[in-house]
This record gives sequence, structure tokens and C-alpha cells, in this order.
Amino acid sequence: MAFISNLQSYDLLTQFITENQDKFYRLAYSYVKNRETALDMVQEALISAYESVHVVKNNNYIKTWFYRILVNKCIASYKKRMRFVASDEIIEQTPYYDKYQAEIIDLYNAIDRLESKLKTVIVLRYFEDMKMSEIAEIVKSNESTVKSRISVALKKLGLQVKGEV
Amino acid sequence: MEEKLRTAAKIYKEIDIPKELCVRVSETIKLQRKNKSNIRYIWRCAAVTAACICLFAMVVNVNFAFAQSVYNIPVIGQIAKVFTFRVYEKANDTYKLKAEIPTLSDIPDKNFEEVVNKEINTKLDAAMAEATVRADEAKKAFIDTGGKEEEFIPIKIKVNYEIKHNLDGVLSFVINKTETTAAAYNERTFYNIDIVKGSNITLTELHGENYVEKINDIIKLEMAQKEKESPNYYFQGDMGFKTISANQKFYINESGNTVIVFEKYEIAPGAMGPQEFEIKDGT
Repeated sequence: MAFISNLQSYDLLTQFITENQDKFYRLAYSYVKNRETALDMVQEALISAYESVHVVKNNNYIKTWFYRILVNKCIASYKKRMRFVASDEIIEQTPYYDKYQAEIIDLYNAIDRLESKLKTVIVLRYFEDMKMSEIAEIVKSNESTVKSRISVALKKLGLQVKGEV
Repeated sequence: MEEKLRTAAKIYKEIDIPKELCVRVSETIKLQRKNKSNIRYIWRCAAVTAACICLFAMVVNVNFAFAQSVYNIPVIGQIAKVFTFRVYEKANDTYKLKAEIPTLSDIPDKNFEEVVNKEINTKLDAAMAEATVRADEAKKAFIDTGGKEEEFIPIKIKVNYEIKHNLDGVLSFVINKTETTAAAYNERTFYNIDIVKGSNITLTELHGENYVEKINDIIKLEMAQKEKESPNYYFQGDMGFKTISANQKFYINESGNTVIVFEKYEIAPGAMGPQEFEIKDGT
């Protein structure tokens, strides 16, 4: 029986945050590309989450609900930042040149340069290994939209879509 | 393609996690705990939800005329009475408990009366014991996670009852048990008792052998009408209503009609609250 209380959601949120904070940081960093800003994003998302945890009706949705808050904050900040920073500067900050093949680094940077709508679905799907249904909830859309966004993004990245994404 | 993306994911996973992250996160969590108004707000929500749902019901049956003719003794002797047997109050830093425990009397079958009263008492005593243990646990968890003992708001546990019907041989009342910890701990249990026979009334007695289909049809019809006015009022598909259960909760209302009860989340989203369906005669 899905009886829940706000206190349970509160405790579940705390547990979820404690266990997944590294993931939140990486996701935030992948948008804002700045250590301090990424830390701020995570903290801001936590505060917003605690302020509104009482509206979560079903504890099964805590994960997607929290990611939605985080992604929205990151995208907002990223857009603000993009007005001031040239995209070349972003690439310079990626310190992985010698370790990986140029092809892979180019792909990683290309994902970074995708428009935020497309970048979000690629990062959540391939870097965070999320299910289509979860991504759909995070971006407040349906699964078929997510699937089509992913295939558009893959095409832009010059990757051939083979069968199911 | 998958291979390339998987390798790119490695770069992503190599993003360094600054040491400050852990500190910032735990500081933020602590700040939320200390933010009393925030906690109060959550408590308040829990209390409101609790108040909305919790009923723990009991229904007893008495038939004036029938009792009179059968037993040929003064009417007053045939009516089951429900009264507050004891009021139990206990308050400390962990919880505030207030229970009005009802008891039945004047049921012709004394054995049956005793069984019912005993059941009420055992059930409520156990429920209150569990609730106080949970309150202790909640307080411990609050302190363990950085809350100050003096900031803990005692959990309220309340038991009371309400008479639904006391006419024509049906005495019906509801016992409510609420806890501010969680709506899940609120309880309502329905007893439907035929005082004269000294037995529980079943849906078969009230609506015949094929009561399941009959009642299901009435419920489905009413649900369909409601859905027309407000679509998605009830859960759809797998989560939705299928049939009443073997131990279906019901009580008998003022007009003597059966009322089928579904708890919050049973057939509809929590926001819709518990659902009731009155099975009117002739429907």
C-alpha cells in the first residue's frame, strides 16, 4: 500500500541525496564547467528540494523529481553563462587530451556543445544510465519525445543509430 | 556507436569530485533540520493528512421492533449502548496520547458482547503500544540525524469514536486512530454486528449470495459517472478498481444503507482521499 507521509519523503530525500551527491556534482559540472558554480548548483537544488519535498505525493518519484530540479537549475545557469563565455574556452577546460583518442574527446566535447535539451537526454541516458521512462519524467515529457530527441542528438554527433536507442 | 559513448562516459565519470562537496551537502542537510519552521511545516502537513483519513470504525446492529417482539422485554433492554469506557491520557516529551476507548453494553448475548469489547480493547491497547514505540523511534532518528532534543515536537496519537447509526437495530460507530508520524499508521476497522443474533453482519446477509457482482456493478457505474465529470479521478488500468475484496470494509449509514469504503490510495490518488460508495436499496 502506497501510504506515505511527508516525514518519510523527507527522510528518503536525505538518504537519496547522501548516496548520490557525486552524481549530482558531475551532472552539474557537465553543464556549468566550473567547480564553484557546480557546487552552488548542487546546494541550490538541495535547498529547493527540501522546501518542496512535501508536495511529492509518491516516494517512487523522489529520484526523477530531484533530478528535474537539478537539471532545471543547471540549464538556467548554463544559459546565463553562455552569454558571457565563448564555447572555445569550454573545450580548453577539458583536461583529458592525452588519455583518450582524439575521436572520443571530440565526441565528449560535441556532447558538451549540444543545445541543452539534447545534451540533457544524452547525458542522462548514456552517462547516468537512466531508463527512458525516468528521463521522460525528468524533462517533463513523454518517452517517444525523449527517444526522438536522443536520435536527433546522435545524428548531430555523427553517430549512426542502430536499432533501439 | 555504443562503444564510443561508453568511452565518452568514462571521461564524464572522471570529473573530479571536490572534497567540499560532502561538507556542503551535509551542512545543507543540517541547516534544513535546524530550520524549525520547515520541520513544523512538514509536521503540520502530516497532521492534516492524518486528521483527514483516520477512522477506525465499528458498526453494531440493533432492531427495536424485532428485539421487542422476540424477547418481549422493555425496549431499553434490547438496545446496545456505546459509551466511553475509559479516557486515557499520557503526555511526555516524545508523544501526546489521548484515547477515548468505547465499550458496548446491553447486548442480549453477553458472551458476544464480551468478545467484541475484548477485541476492541486488545486491538487499541496494541495499537497504542505500537504508536508509542514508533514515537520513541522517531525521536531517536530525529536526534541521531542532528536534531536537538528540545526541538523535537511530540507526536500526537489520538483515538476516538463516532456513532454512525443507532436505529432500527443497527448501531454503527467508527473508531478513529491517528498518529502525526504518518498517514500509514492511521487505522479504521469496521465491525458490523447484529445485536439480536449476536453475530457479525456480512455483505451476503445484506445483499444476497451474488453480492460481489451486484456491488461491483454499482461501484463501477458510479465511478464511470464520476469519471465523466472529472476524468482520471480514480486510478486507471492495473492500479484501478477491479472488485470488492473478501474482507471488504463497509459500514451502515444513517439511512441503513451499506456504505463500501476504500482507503486513501486504494482506488484513487491520495489527494482524492478515502472513497465511499453508498449501496442504496433497489439499485
